[in-house]
Amino acid sequence: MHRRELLRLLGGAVTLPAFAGLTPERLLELGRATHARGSTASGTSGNPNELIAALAELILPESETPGAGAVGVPAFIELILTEWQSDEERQQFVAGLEDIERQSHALGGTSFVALGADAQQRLLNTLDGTTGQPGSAAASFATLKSLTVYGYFTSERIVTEVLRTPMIPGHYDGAAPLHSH
Amino acid sequence: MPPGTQRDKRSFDAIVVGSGITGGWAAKELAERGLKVLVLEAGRSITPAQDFVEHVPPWEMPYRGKGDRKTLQRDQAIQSECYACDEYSSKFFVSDLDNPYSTTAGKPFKWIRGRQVGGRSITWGKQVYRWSDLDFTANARDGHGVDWPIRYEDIAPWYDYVERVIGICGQAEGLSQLPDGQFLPAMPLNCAELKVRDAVAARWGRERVLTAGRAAIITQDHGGRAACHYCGPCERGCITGSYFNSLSVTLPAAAATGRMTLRPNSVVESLLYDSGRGRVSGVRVIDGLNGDSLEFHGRIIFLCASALESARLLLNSKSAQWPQGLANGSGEVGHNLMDHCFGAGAHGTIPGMEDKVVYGRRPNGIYVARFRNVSRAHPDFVRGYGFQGSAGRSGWDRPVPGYGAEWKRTLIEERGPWRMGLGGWGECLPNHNNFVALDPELKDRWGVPALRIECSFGANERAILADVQKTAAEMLDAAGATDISTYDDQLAPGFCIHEMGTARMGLDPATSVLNRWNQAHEIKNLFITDGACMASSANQNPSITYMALTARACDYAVGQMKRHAL
Repeated sequence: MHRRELLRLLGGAVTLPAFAGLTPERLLELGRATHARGSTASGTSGNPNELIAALAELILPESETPGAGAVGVPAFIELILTEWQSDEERQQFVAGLEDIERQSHALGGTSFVALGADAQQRLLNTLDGTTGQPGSAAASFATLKSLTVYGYFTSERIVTEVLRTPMIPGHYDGAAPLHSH
Repeated sequence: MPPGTQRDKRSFDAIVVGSGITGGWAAKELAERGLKVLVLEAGRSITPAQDFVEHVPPWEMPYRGKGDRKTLQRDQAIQSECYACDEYSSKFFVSDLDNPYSTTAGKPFKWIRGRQVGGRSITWGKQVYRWSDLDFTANARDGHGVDWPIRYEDIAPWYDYVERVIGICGQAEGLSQLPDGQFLPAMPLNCAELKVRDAVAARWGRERVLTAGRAAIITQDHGGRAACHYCGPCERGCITGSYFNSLSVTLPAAAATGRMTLRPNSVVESLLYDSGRGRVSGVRVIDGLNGDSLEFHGRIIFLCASALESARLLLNSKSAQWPQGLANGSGEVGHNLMDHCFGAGAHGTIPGMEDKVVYGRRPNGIYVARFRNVSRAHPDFVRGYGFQGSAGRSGWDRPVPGYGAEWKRTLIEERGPWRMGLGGWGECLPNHNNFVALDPELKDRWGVPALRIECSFGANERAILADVQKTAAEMLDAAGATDISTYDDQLAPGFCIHEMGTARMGLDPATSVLNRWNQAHEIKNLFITDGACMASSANQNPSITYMALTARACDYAVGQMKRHAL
């Protein structure tokens, strides 16, 4: 199975429960193949997962500063999902994404990416800041949010152009003005 | 044996086992005093220009610093519990698969180890605090352990000596229980830490003193090394040599004499004993790369392999003459294992100063000198503890409800409140029942018997950690902190990476292994100067004391050799 096929499975072309029947081993294999093919791609090309990408972009949208997609956050999340998380964590994460899709269908009769902006926001407002059982929509949204923030703020463009964190500060100031750096 | 034979190439004036924080000092001091020195290091060579990765940004790491978790869990399940063993610096920690040890059920012990040239001096915490006579007389006063054979006046000139080379930043405070050293300018406290310092001073006067952390990091150019540039993650190495480690300071000094041979990948298996002369004559080494068995010979041997490894070597060198292990007539080798109790304290929010942040990543914090059992006895425990800590404001990594463009702006532009943490480092009592022995079956990758470790904290350590939480919270409260919470992570011994005591110094050969010169009571040309030598643990971070004792022992050993007494 190739990347495009995995993307189709993970994305909105079919509903997520389509891969609910895959064994963890098979999922891992898919993930490895995906990563092997995707690891040389630049952060901004190739959208590994429409739902993850859409959620990441809603969490950190393009504004006067870049959005999550522009700095390769979806690829980072894909790497963590396929290579870093345990089989159990990945299954729970995916189950929570499926739950988001189910709620989206219940709300608007369509997959999350095809929902209108207002409906997407209404759904996310019910998830954000709540704690859910592993495998729930709320739990997976919390995981996704944390990975999105981490991937965003450890990306080259955000560190060097937005945060402008110097690699070598040269000195220590214990009472520097908040907005001078 | 004629000159030029293989045997001759393997004969030295001194053999130093280990190249870490004490092995580097032994190499330097012995070579600078004219001895031909062989340094044996079990691990591989390190090339700072290639292996030090402190300036590699997260986006150049495959997992952005989160680590290759599955590999870490498989190969370094114990090591990766240490904060410093991450995606960048896990290469400076051993493979737990190659280096197994066993523990007694219900008594976990975390043995965090580094096997490479430089040892754990690459990843150490760099905090340096002198001991005082409050510490050197502690065993004699309360009866735990055996009396130290030295007092502060014996080691003070050696603290001076090693500190001048190392370069220690710190603030002189004039405290009898925490003697001042040879200080370079202290690293500044930040505005929240200053607020806590002043509040503690206002409430407790000179009884509780909060000062700048004393660290082996140079705040001005020193000894040909550049001042710290505040990049932050010291445990990944330091290309400018701004913090003390063997690779940047002592091993180059030893090499500069032209009299040091450094042999990496040399796993010392046991010591060779000449029963006719009653001396050690050399070491048996397994080549870590090809498994060859080799012997090297020396007139004196310094064990600087770490407390547990040096004990393991003595235990593995048992013979008909030394049935309990070499130099172990006392039966104390491997016993009296100590590690500081820590992982407890308090956090609080320091209100105000919202227009201020820190600039730069200071690899150091604050220190509160011991104040328990200094001038009056505490009802619940003997000995004491010190605090380390720091204050700061969280950035984008703080948990904030929300999402979207405006939320993103707050993550970028705003900060969390000032939070201050105080964590206690408590003294661990010497106890014969905390010990290591050779595991009857388990062996490491090179076939050397592994250690079985049996160690647990007792009532005194638990009472210390209970008091730590109380006094940390009351100091934060005195500073007007809000949201104060206490914690005790219930960490297993070993996790502080201050393991010591397994070949202790003492006055009596019947109850101790080493004399006042770190010399084995029973084998005059054998010296042990790593943490094994410690008769008590005090509560101060111990490395500076190991280093001072090493330099002192080297001076003594060479003096004895020159007088033909060794």
